[in-house]
Amino acid sequence: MRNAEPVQEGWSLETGPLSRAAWFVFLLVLALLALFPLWWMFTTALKPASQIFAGDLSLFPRGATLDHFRRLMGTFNLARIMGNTLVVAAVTTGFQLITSLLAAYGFARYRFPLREPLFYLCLGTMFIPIQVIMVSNYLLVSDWGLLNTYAAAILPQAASAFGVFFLRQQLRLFPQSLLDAARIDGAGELTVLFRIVLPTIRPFITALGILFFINAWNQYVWPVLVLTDPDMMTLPIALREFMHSEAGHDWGLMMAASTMGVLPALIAFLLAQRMIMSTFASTGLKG
Amino acid sequence: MKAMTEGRARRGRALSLGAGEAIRGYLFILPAVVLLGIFVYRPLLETLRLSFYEWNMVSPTQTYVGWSNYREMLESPGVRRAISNTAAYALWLGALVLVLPTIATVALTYMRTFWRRAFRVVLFLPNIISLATAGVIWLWIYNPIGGFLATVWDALGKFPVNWLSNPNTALGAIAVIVAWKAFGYNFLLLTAGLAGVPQEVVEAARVDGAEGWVLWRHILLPMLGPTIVFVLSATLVMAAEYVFTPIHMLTEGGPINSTTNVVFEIWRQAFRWFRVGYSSAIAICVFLLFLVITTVQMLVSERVVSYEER
Repeated sequence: MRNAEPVQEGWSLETGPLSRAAWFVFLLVLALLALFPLWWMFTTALKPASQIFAGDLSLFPRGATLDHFRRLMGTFNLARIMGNTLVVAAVTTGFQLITSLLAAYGFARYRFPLREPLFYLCLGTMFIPIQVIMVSNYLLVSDWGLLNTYAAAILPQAASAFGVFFLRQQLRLFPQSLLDAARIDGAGELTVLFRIVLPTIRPFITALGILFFINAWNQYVWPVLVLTDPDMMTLPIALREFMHSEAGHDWGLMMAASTMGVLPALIAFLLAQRMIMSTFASTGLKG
Repeated sequence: MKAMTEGRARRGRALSLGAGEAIRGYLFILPAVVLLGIFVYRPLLETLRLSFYEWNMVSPTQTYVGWSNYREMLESPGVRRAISNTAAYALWLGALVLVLPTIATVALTYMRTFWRRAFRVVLFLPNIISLATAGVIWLWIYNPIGGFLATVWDALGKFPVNWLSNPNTALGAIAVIVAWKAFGYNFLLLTAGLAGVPQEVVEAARVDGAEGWVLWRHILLPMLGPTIVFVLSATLVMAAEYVFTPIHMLTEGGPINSTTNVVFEIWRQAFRWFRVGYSSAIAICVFLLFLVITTVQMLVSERVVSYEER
């Protein structure tokens, strides 16, 4: 499995010009449906308030303004919320990468009793919906006095079974002779991992890191339970709060807030689009 | 045992790590295993235990009630509604993010390289948007005053519908939000699966005279079968799990229970009505449901892993 390579292009089929045109129109309609809500969000965020409620369906804002974004800064402490989201997403990503890398290395390169059962127990956690375990985790985090802390949002997500699985696939391919050579030279286990193994799988780590980051940036179900203080909320949680506040019908403001939530993930995606899509495509592949 | 013998054999011929190999191995997997143990398996067992108790989350006493939570669940019209809604979500999503992307996958094979790449990227794009943001964007599109759909409806001379607060349309409106986000992921898996069909197979089939519908019906779609089964199970998971976020954000299960589903009932019973035991009983049943879906999928198709936003 060579995940950091572009998604396979595959073969193509020929057909008559009419039927090709029909298929093209079909895909075009789907593409417009995919893009329209995002476009509508961006343009609403940029339209002057007077255009938003006038039943105005123009696809481009007339006299675009950053007014809604300015008001967002004032009304909702946006800087704090973006900061919270960034801290939670970045630290979660860091933890997930480190714990995944270590565990993947252990599972791929060492032999020890119960290795297979432990690996499958790890893998099994992927198939347990978060909602099944959230109540008990909420009670635990609450008992520890961690509600409304970054730790509460991060800790339960600090290990990723998917990351372990994904990196183990890569590490199994690493030639044993290189590892042995390094050990003969007296390198410690962690040195071998970080100096010799890590550089060779850097593309996979990057792809996985971007995936983790987008996911942590977007997550809702867990943080909505433990981050209830407006000063601690991440953006998806704050969006719900805005919605239920008196600004909930101020659509220019709401769409400006949504835009702020979309932009980081969108930028990450556009910068590393091929890498992300190939990693996603590989997620369904057999081990 | 097999692992141990192999380990001994390898140590014999290659560089010896001594008895320390096992210990080092355990140390490497320790952080992940401990975290997953504490935050996945511990709560799973705790939820199982709580499902036999009556508890309001704050009282110091938990009362053992045996199977009564489960019995109540079987008789509750609310849970029955949640189950039928879950099935309705599965049907909606089956059409929108299983059948539709499969047709789009067929369409894509007739495109030239440039358009093929462009469509794949554009159709995937919504997948990186959070369900929470998607919910707010669609709330604006659905909004009866000034919202895009209502305005179009109005222009067509139809009576404006408040999609999310009408019990007849709310479930579909929620399903569309999830479908908008999830389409691209399933589409990507399906196109990647189809690309994995060897070119020689396609050529051979065409030499034998298989074209158009025959080629798809008898050669390509069957070869795509394992991927379709995988995407089907991902879709069932979405119908239960993904819809949670838009339900929680936009409708909280209403109007008159028309959008609740089995997963949302776990939240509602625990955090709305503070019935932790009852919520846990529902959670255990959801867990068993997922276990069945996953097991069947693994038995039928060869794929074992998916990656989901939570």
